[in-house]
Amino acid sequence: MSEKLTTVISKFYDEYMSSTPKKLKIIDAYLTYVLLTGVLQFVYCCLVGTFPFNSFLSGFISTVGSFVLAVCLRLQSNPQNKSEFTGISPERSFADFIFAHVVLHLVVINFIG
Amino acid sequence: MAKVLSLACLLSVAVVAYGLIPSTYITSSDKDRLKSVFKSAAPYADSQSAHFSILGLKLFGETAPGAQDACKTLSKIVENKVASIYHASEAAKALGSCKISVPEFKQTLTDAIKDGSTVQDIAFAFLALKNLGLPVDDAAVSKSLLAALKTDDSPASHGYAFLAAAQLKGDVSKFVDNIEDVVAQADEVDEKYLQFDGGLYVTALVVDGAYKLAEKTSKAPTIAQDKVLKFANYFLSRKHVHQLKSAYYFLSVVKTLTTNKFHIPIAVSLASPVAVTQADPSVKVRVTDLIGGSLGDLTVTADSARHQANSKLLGTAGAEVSVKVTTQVSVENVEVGVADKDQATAARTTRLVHPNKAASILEADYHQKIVMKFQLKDKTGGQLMTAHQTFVRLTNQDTKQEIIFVTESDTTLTNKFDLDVGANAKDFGHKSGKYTMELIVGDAVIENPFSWTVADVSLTFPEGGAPKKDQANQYAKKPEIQHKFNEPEKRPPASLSLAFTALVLSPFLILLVLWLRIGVNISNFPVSVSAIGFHACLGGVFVLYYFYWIQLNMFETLRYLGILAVPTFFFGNRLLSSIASKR
Repeated sequence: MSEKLTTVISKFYDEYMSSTPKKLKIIDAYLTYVLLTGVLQFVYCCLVGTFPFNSFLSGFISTVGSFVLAVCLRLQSNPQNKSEFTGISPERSFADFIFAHVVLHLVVINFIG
Repeated sequence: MAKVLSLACLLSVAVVAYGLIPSTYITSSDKDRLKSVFKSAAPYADSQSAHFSILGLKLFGETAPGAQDACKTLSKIVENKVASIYHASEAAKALGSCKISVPEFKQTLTDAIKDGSTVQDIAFAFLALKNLGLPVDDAAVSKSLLAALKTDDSPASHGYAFLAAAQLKGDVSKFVDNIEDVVAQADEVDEKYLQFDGGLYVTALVVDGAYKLAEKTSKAPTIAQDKVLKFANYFLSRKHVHQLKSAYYFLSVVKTLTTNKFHIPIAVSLASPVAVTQADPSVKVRVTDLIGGSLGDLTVTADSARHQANSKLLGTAGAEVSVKVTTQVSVENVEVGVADKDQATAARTTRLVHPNKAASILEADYHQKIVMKFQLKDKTGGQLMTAHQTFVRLTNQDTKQEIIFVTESDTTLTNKFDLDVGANAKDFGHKSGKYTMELIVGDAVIENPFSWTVADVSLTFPEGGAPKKDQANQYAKKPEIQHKFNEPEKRPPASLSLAFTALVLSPFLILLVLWLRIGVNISNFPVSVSAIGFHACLGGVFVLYYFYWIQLNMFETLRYLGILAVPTFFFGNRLLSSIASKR
C-alpha cells in the first residue's frame, strides 16, 4: 500500500518536474512559500491568541490574498489554458498581478493599525 | 374639638339653591371701580364708547358729566353705519334731551333690515329706528332676524336677537323658544359657573336679552334656577372687569338679575370676621341681591355646621359661609417615663403639670424606651380635642442638634409618644448624652399654642454604631473621576513573538531555495532604464506603505501613491511590452 503511494508520488513528481514549464514552477514555489507563511500565522494565532486582532487579520488577509492572486496568475500563465484566456498575454497578466497586489497591500496596511 | 360648635343657618328665601349661592356681591368699592371705568371713557372717541359709558353711569343712577357737551360730541362722532348709529341713538336716548337726526340715517337703517344681513346689523338697525322714533316694519324685522339666525346661530347672535325681540311688536314666541336651546349651549366650569364661548360679554348679552324678552312676554324664561345661579356666580367672578364694553354688559345683566320679575339670585356673604373666638362668638351673615341691595325682611336660620378640617362651614339651604372657631387649650394628664422595651416591667412614670419641668433627669439606654402620654382639653368646653400639630423635640444639650418626632392621638383622644431608644439610635447619630425634651402643640384654631420643656433625658446608645457622616461632607470636593480605558490584553512574551516572526519569515528562505533549484535565470534580467525604474518604483510603493503604517494618514498616502503610480505604470508598460516583443 505504502509502496504504491510512494510510487504514485514519485511518478507524479517526475511528471511534474519534466513536463511543467519553468515559469509555472517558479509560481508554484511562490505559492508554497505563501501557503507556509499563512499556516505559520495561523499556528501562532492558535497558540498565542489573536490579541492584536487587526494585525493578525491583516497579515492573514495578506497571505490569503497573495495566494489567490498567485493562483490567478498561474492559471493565466499556464500554456494549457491558452484557449481560455485568448488575448491576455503573460505580460498583461503579470501587470494585473502587480496592480492587484498594490491595491491589496494598501488595504492590508490600512487595516494593520 | 370642643369649640367646633355646630352652627348652621337656613336661609328661608324664595330662591331655591343647591349649594351654589354666590358668596360675594358687588360691594361699594366694586361699584366705584366700575364707575371709574365708565367715566374714564370720556371724551368719547366713538359712539360705541359713548353708549356704554353713558348707559353704564345711568345704571348707577348717575348722569354723565356735561350732558350737553356729550350730545354735541355725539352728533360729531356718529358715522353713517348701522352699529355707529345704533350706539349713538342709545346714548342720545339715555341723555334725554338730545336729538341726533341725519336724513340719510333712515335709509341706511332701513336698508340693513333685509334677508342676508347679519343678526347684529338687523337688531341694531331695528333698535336704532325705534330709538330715533322712525317707523319700522316689525314683521319684516322678525322675518329677517329669524332668517339670519338660521345661518348664524352663535350665542352672541341670539343675544342680539333677544334684545331686538324684546322691543318687537307681534308674535315673538319663536325667539322665546330659542332661549332654552341657547342656554343649553353654555359651558359649565367646576360645576359652579356657566359661561358661553366669548366670555363675559357674550354671556351677559344672552342672559340680559333673555330676561328682557321674558319681561315683555311676562313669562319666566326657560332657564333652570341652578343655571341662573351658575350664571350669577360666573358674573360675580368677573366683577373686576376693566373693559368698557364688557363692564357695561356685565352691569346691565347684574341689574337685570336684581330687578326682573322671575329670578333674583341672592348672595350670602360673611359679615363678621372669619375667626370665631370666645370673645366674639357670633357669626354674622349678609344676605343681599347681587349688587348688595336689600331683599326686604328675611329670616336667616342656622341649619347645620359641618366640621371640615379646622374650619367650619355654615350650611344653608344652599348658601355656605366658612368661619373658623378658635379656642384655648390646656394640656392635662401628662405622664412621662421610661419603660423596658419588652414591657416586662411596668413603666415608671411621673405625672407632670404644665408648665413645670420634671424634677429628675430621665435615664434611658438602648434597651428601653421613653413613653409620654397627654391629653389636650378645650378650656371653655372642657372636652378633649386633638391638635393639628403635636411634636416632641429632643435637643442635644452639647451639640444643639435637634430631632423632632410626631405624636399620635388614639381614639380616646390621648396623645401618645413612644421613643424606642435603640431603634432610633441612627437618628441621634449614636450620640449619647443629655437631651432636652420639649412638647410643641399648635393648630390654626388654637389661640395659645405652646412649647413646653417637659424634662431632661439622658440617653445611652450602643457603642460602635457607624458614626454619622459629617453633614458638611455632602458639599465637599468629590474625588476626581479618572477615566479608565480598556486594559489591553496581556501580550505574549516578546521572545515568543520574535521567534514566530522569524518562523513566519523563514518560508522566504524556502522560496529562495526552491527557486534556485528550479534554476531561476537572473542573468536574463534586462538591464534597461524601464526595468530598473519599474522595480524601483514598485519598491517605492511598498516603502510608502511602510510609512503609511508608521506615520502617514490615508490622504497623504493616496497623494504620494498617485504620484508614484504614474512612473510605475509608464516603466512597467515599457518593460513588459519590450519583453513581449522580444518573445
